[in-house]
Amino acid sequence: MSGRRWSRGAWAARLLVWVAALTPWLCSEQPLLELADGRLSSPASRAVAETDGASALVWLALVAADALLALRARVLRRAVVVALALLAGLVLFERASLPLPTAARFALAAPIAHSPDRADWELLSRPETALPAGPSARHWLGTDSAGRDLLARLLHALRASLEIGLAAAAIALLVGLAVGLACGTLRGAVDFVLMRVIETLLCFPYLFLVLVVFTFLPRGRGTLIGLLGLVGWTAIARLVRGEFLRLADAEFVLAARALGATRWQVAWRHLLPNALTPVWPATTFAVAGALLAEFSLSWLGCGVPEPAASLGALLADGQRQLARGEIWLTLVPSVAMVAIVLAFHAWGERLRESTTPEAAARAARGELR
Amino acid sequence: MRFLLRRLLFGLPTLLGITLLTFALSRLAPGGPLSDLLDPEQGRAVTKEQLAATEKLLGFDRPLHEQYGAWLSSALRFDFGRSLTSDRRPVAEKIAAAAAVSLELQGAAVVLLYGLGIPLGVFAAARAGTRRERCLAALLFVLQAMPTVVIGALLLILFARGPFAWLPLAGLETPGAEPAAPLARALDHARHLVLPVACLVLSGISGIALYARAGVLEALRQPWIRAARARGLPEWRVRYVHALKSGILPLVALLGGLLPWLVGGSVAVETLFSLPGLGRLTIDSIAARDYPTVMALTLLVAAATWLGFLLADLLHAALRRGEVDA
Amino acid sequence: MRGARPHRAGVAAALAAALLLLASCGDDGPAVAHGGSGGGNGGGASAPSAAPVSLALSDEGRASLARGGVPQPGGTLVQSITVEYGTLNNILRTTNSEETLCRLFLFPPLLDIDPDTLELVPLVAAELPTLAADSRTYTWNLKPGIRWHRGDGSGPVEVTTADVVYAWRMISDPTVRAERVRASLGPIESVRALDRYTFEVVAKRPYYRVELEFGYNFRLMPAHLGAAEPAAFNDDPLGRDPVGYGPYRFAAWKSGEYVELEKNRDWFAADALPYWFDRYRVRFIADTAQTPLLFERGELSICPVNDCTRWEEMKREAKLAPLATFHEYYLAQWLYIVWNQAHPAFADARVRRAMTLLYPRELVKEKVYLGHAAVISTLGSVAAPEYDASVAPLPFDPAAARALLDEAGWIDRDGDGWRDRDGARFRFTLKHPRTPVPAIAVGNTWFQQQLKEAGVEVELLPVDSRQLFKELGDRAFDAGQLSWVGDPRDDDLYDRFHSSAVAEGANYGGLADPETDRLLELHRGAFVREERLALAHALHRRIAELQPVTPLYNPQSLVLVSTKLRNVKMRRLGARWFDWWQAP
Repeated sequence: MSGRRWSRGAWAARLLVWVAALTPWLCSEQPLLELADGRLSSPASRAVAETDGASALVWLALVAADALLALRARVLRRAVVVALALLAGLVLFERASLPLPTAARFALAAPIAHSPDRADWELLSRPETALPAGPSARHWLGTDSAGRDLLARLLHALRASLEIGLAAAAIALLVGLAVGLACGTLRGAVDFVLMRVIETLLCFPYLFLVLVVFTFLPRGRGTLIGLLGLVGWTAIARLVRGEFLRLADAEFVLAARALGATRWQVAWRHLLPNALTPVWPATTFAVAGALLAEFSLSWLGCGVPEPAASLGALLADGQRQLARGEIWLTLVPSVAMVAIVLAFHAWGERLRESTTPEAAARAARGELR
Repeated sequence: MRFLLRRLLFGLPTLLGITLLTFALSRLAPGGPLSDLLDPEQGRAVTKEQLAATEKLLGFDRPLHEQYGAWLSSALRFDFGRSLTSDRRPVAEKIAAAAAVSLELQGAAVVLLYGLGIPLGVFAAARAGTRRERCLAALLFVLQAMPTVVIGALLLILFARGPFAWLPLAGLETPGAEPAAPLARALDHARHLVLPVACLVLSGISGIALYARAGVLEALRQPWIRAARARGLPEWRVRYVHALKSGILPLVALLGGLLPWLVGGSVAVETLFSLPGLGRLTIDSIAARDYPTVMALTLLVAAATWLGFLLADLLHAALRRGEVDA
Repeated sequence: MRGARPHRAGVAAALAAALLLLASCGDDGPAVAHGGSGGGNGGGASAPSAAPVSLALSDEGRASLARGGVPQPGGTLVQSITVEYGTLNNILRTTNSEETLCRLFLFPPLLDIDPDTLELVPLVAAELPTLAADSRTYTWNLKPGIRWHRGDGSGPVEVTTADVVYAWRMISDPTVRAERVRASLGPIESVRALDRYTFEVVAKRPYYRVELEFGYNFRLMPAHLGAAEPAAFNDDPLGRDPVGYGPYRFAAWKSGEYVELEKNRDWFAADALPYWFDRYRVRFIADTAQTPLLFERGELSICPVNDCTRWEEMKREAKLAPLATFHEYYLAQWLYIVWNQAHPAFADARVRRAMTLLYPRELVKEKVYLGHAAVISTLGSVAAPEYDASVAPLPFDPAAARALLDEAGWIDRDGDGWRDRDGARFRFTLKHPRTPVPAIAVGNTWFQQQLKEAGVEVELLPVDSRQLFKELGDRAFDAGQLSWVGDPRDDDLYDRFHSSAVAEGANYGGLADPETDRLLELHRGAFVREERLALAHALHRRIAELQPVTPLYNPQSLVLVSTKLRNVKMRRLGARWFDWWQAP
């Protein structure tokens, strides 16, 4: 995708990814840095390591890769990558601390000093507190109906939802590509059988599948990702297969064949790169689709388990308050959801538009729209 | 024709696979159709012996492949048995009653979706880049990102009181109304449909409009549009006749994809507005582990989905041929 | 992309759509009229003063009540339930809402429970049955002159022992799907007609509740109209076109929308239970959030509200004042957590006690229920005489809980922040219904936080109700959260706490305590009400001590009643409106 102009949607999507990656350090009850008893440590990082260290590392690697690809200024690029590596190191070596020969005490709090999963007990013990609490200096967006900081929950929900959406889309992409490739290349019996499988899956009522699956598998992000990936790959596989069939008689394919390329060489070198064109936008739509589906699952009580937050869970919670005319708790996650879906849709649209032959021609002429 | 026949034949293993999968999954789901008898909140809980006796009575103790075979052989004769819930009505009767509600609802929604969505999309494409178009696109994107449940709940709040309170919130007719003239009844019925259909349209329109917009935009870029312009055709004719013609073709094919939606009903809307449609029936049957109803519904929706694909493919093929002819 | 896009959207839409559901499936709506299965044997205890039935009336409402005056026949009363009835066959019915409609309006039972005094009073029976010296044989007399809503070709047909025998034949046939009724008539051995109005019922063994169980739960069906053979009875069209003998007769059933009954001019108990309304309609409204909106529009006469915040807001809303009176009262329903004693930690009463001490029940009562619930110390309604008000619920006390956990040997030995014993970390799964009421959803997250701080790990696992009861019965759980609708009086906890009910019954936790067993057995055999009350109080203390369950709340029923209705009063069994009427 190099050389393509990053659209506004793509920028927004990337910003969201960065925020999500850094969320555990943006909002945490634990101080980012603490100097006590002559040792400097990072309790916030330790908390990350204890809850979901592995996913934090993946997130950091993701944004580090992004920084390496996108940042032009070398100094800046190095600084960002070093900072990220440092965070990763803190997560990896959770108990690490630096001995400092000083008796001074010092703590650097996170910008949002609340954890997403803990009710504000002090606030709750005040007799005048009504739940959900509205915005205040203490809780910038107020609290949810259990007295937990809404902003902290929102940011963590963003992270969890993106994680689910991105991972599900990635699974869908990989499986879809593989199956599409197999169908498009091998044809015949393989194609027939795989297409029947795809049709069966496409025609199957998902709700039913979901309800049954969740009675066997543990609830949580892993299951959600697997399930949404399972739901998503068929569309991509059909798409890839369609492109393969369409391009089978294209001149460049015939030329490659005439030059003696094997079936797989043609498929891998010539067909696949061309077939990918419509797949990229489909994948960004798949992310958005997975987010909406995640909301649905949360509604069913099959979302991420309490006390974790996801946008779907927040929205489901808020929707229950809607009947009272209490719109705030719906509005906040809706806006976040709209932002993500918009960002990914806009990105997908732009990808789609820019992959038409005319756009390619325009781009070649260096012409802007 | 041979193509059609072949596709129809291919459909059989798919449908068979679906029923098999549904059957297996429904039996795997924990808590069978009788487990509500264990709920002590609904009266005296039944003993395990009694439960086993009833299971035997209903044939649940037989091997699974036998049960599936029995289901299949009667399904082939279009006999889907009786519901296992306490109403014990024939499954076909239950589904037919619910389908009438859903088809009316979704049918009205589809007509409106196309009737409103396509002009919106063409408008957006024609004005691409203007501020007005951007506002419209943003609005459509926001609608697309909102789950149907949320849209419905907002509608309910907005229309429950105030100047719009004349719109009914639940059901399909005013209960207790004296038997009135057919016209008055039809009007009453239509009033009940307004909010649910509005909810469906709002939640689906952005998909159609954005799709139409993309199609028309793409068409406008085609060389033959340039050729048409070069021939000196008026701009409105280029946009609204030529571009639209090819731009909305894919939307027609999209209709095929809407078939299962038409048949499946909408759980969100049917729950929010208390309508006895297929969506509710599906959910209730799954919750009640009402095997015969679940099986029949799955088969129905699967067949519709599959037919939808077939339809979409046929339309695609027909359209492509049309393009070539043009 | 083209082929894929709409489909993905379709999947998301279908999923989104699908979602909604759970909230509505499974619960059968708040209990307005009481659906319990009976209580009381006619012993003469005086009415206890504990019933905290409050009536918050707006001025407008008070004025309209005062204008009431003389009873006016006519009008329509409209209520709603969330899940449509499956059948109105009096013998095959399976849910509370079906049972309530059948029992109150179509097929009144032999004995009724007086909604004010909770005494048993004869209704279809001419008088209370006589018990023979063997303590097992009861002789019943039917009131003569009660006629079925529909006769045979030659004219009206009376309710006689032929119907009793017919019903018993159907109920006791194993191929008839009458599991619920059969279960509640389990203690009955045989039913035999002596003449046109007299019949004899023999119990399997002496048990004080037989009179009540039979009198209240025995179901009649018209022998002259019903299917003669059990095989056909299951699919009898009478299930959707019921013919009864009660104050209302069946008028219409609009599938998915409502059931309507009309007044029975031939109602035999019109003196005591006049039922002034001409029509009674029950609408099926799936989304409970919507019912207050319908009430405001005048489409419902009675409307339960289950969101306490909304309730408080409504009480303050000026425009509701002329429309509604607000009623708050306690029914015999409660929420609790049952601890599976097969779990290594919960076999120890100290650990169970620690769990209760960690559950912030008072905070939930204040912040979520806004005071509209009572924290309880056993499974019972605070309004019931069986509830011993002197036993205070355990407080919220994390420090005491930690001390108890230490004492029980659950200590954080490896310093990872979690308590352990014998090398196993203290963790458990709390299963709760999939769409919990707000009090449960919020209370559980607070409980989880408190447990975490105390070093105990809990996973909150929503499961659907079918699965939950299956797993409870199989004892495949650590902790389970339940709600329960009990009997309005003389509730028998035998089935929940007796050691014999572990294998076959609702003693899901597996409590096996000789003292509890002894009290429960004595209670079952006590035919004098005072004795039973004393035993119930002793049992209450024992349960509070052992904590086999953590009793949570006895929530208040919050109900709006239209100001168009007159003579409105809540009874100890809730909104029983037989003497209300509609303003002209």
